Amino acid sequence: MTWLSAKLKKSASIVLATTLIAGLAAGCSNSDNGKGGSATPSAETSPSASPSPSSAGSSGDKITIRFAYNWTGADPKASYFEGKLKEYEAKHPEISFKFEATPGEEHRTKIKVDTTAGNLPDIFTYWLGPVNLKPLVDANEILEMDEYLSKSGTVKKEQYTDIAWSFFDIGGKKYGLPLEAFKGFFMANRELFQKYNLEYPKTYAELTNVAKVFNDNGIVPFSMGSKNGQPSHLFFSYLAYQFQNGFDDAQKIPQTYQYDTDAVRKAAQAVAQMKADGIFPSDTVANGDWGPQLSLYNEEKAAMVYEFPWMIGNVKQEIVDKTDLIDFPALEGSVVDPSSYTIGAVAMGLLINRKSFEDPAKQQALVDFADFINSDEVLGEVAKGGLFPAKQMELDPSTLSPLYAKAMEFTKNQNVWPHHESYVPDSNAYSVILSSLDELFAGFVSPEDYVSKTQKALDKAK
Amino acid sequence: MRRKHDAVFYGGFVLPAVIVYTLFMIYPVAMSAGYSLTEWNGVTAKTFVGLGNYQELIADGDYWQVVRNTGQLIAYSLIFQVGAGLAIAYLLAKVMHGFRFFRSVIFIPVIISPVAIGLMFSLFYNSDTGPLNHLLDSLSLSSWKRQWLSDPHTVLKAVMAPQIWQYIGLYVVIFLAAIQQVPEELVESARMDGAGPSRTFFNVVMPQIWDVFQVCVILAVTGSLKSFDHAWVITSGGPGNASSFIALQMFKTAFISNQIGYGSAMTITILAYAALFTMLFKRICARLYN
Amino acid sequence: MRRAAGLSRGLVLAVFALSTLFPFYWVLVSSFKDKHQIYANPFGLPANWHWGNYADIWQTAHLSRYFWNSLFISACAVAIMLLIGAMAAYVLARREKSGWLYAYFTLGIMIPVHAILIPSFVLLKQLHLLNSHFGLILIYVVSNLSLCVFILHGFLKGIPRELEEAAAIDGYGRVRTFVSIVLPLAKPGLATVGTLGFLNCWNEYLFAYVLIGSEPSKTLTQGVMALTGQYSTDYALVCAGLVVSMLPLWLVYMLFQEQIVKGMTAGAVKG
Repeated sequence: MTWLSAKLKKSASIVLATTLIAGLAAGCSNSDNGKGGSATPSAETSPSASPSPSSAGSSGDKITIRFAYNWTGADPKASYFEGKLKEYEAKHPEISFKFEATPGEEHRTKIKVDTTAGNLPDIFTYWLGPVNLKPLVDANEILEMDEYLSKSGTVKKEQYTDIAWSFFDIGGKKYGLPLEAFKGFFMANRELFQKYNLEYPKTYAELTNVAKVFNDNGIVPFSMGSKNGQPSHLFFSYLAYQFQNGFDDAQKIPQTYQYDTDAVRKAAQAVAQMKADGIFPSDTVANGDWGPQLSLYNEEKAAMVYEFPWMIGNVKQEIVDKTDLIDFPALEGSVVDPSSYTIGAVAMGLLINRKSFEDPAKQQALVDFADFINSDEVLGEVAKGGLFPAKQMELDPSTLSPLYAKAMEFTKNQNVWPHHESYVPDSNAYSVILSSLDELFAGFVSPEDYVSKTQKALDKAK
Repeated sequence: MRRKHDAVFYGGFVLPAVIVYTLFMIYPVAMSAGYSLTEWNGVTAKTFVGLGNYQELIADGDYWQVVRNTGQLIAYSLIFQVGAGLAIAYLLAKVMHGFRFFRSVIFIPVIISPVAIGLMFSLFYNSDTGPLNHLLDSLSLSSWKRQWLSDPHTVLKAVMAPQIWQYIGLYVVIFLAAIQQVPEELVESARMDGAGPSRTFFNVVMPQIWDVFQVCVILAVTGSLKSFDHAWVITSGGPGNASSFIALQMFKTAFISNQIGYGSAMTITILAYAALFTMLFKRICARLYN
Repeated sequence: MRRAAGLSRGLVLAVFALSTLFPFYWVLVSSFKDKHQIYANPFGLPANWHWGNYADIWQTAHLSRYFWNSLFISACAVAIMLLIGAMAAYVLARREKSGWLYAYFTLGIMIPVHAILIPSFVLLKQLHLLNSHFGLILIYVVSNLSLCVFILHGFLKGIPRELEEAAAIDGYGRVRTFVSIVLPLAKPGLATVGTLGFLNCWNEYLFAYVLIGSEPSKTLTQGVMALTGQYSTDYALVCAGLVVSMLPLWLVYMLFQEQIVKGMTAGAVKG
């Protein structure tokens, strides 16, 4: 009896092992098809889309386009954008689309890893500035946009401002199609101010008074946190630009590598001062990064916040109704009128893989697809999720969230001044800036140390 | 004849693991070691710099800060994971009622994803809205309140706490099983000889579970050397490098600062520390036992 | 005296048990709240039990698809790892001069897996295994293989040779002996390593999102992390996702608890 059961057990384990292996072989090669609807073939049956002459050629073959982006998951733009992608896919059965969506910053890591192995997607969204683009340009991986524009059916250079193009300019040539622009705006909870009989502060002295009242009542005056420099790095640039030559100095950084300037020092001191005066939340790390920072404001635990378009979809409806857009007060020693400018740039653009473009079989499909992404139709749709298109186009206000319309209106006449990330040419230096901002906001370093640390990193990069 | 058959059998049996492991683990590590001798941003060509990265590491204050942080983590893991785990297991071994319940419950944190634990704790630690400070208030311990993640004195410990806490259960379960295997007669005879609880523990129980203890120490140390997830989710290693560890620093260097060669050099140092520790530890244990 | 000791012991254990349960309770309860209630009422029970979060993640966020992907990947990885790991551990346990091989295999325990991200990626690309479950499975197998061999080695050493010799006398070949005599005896060790390995695969994020790009192939951790998002504020949804990802693990643990516990120590003892 025991021998029999031993034999059964043995057969069972052999059968199990075989099934697993068979299932493995079969299941794995079907893994991309089997579950879910999207018609993406598996990696074994059609190798990844980096150039191989065999994938071009015979006319019966489907063209494969790999598109990587990060408006997915919890991003408010996701449902609008991905809806449009599915529509396009359905209309083009001759193209096999491989969509690679990775949320947030992970998309950046993924593209970087892709690059190390020569696995860059055919077309992908990416961030701005020499920090992000120069390595790709140096390795000749991405397409010069004039070539695309010459083939494009609907997209023209004039549809974007020179400033928008400048964010993707390396050595005089354009390497990305501006997609998502942004402008910062300050929001204040009208009801909270009214509750304590306060006016929106215009000077630093008024700010401290307002702060005192709020703090006494358990409310954070201004929700600003810093975790890996988010979102503080945008606010910091805003502060620096209030001072003499703040913006001019920033623009010169690619040539001078000089971050340590009078304006930046004053901004760092202002941060330390504001922290001492209780303007910020007491815990800037825990309240750092976009989600937690907005949550404070959403839950009415903070009276003011500095926000950007990609967060519009996350603001509670009742809070939108209670929100007024205001100007940040003028700091002591500032010379620039705070209402005259806002921090803004193009956050993301569309980059095209040069080799994929030069593949004659793919070129037209790529161009058409890029045209589609940049079409008024798609951009208008994604605007419903809070996208500020970089393209100069009309948006239908009735489709947009009221906060979006308010923000566009408020910033319409302000100068748009890009933040330091657009100018700092070295990724290590900028990452030092980001992490040092965490330290500055948490009170771990003095303003002097902040400036010397960051400048040292820039000096190293020269 | 048997010998030859043996060799063929052994060879064939160990081959699949050797192939897979060499190809997908050792070879990539070797590649990493290769990268560590270069300067590479991941995109353009690599520049050979020999031991330049290592020389830079030695002079890099940030690197030593994270090494010190990792050292602290190792120390706390040994005390609170291995040490406390052992103590709790010892207590649990004597419990009559609810034994199974305790054993299941303490293991629960082990199975939760570190990312989940990190998220949970970052919400807890928020000194403005999080439950931790509220709890301290309600227990009249308001003076203990802190800006957990923004206070230079607390941020490192605040980040170490979740990861140490999470795996205590693992060590408890391991030690528990080991303690339960200690023959009753030994314990009984010690007690009859008049030995108190601590004498019994050190002279009777410990020698029996000594092997297990060694393994746990090695696991705790190598686990701490690899620490990444918790710190990344809670503070990204910040502010600055205050709550960063070597593996996290390596990730930032390679993927955020685009310095893959330099980051790889850091990885190799982790390997070196782990190997060094294991060798020294084994030697010390062998000596101690004699 | 005894009773006082017993009581204080029970108290210490109870406090500890409570502290381990609390975060789990918090995630569970939060998953039923509306996203703003998490801040308004962090500790208490939800005012309304909001099942919507679960419906949302299962359908809209496609977690059902990712769930099965994760299950498939983790199960395959564990199966392969156990098979080749047990085979290797057996050789190491039985062969006299296997010190170097043993050290070679256990090196892997010291390697932080992020370190091999780029080289693995380059390698998998050359093998055309990017964006495939099989590539990810291979990575997971090697990530856990060292610990597997380490623990199983100790375990298998403890199985008396007489049993195998008896089998040989009965005419069993070596493979048959391994499969029908040795493996069944090693069940607790296999259960331990299998569970720990499954845990690691199930919760892994970095390699998953770097290697798997296409939507239908994604893993559960990718799904849950997409919910968290850098910009997101809906922690209730995230908590629901976390609960969904935790439950299968707890189930596995509950089912195999005895085996795991037996395996943990026996493997470690002779290690």
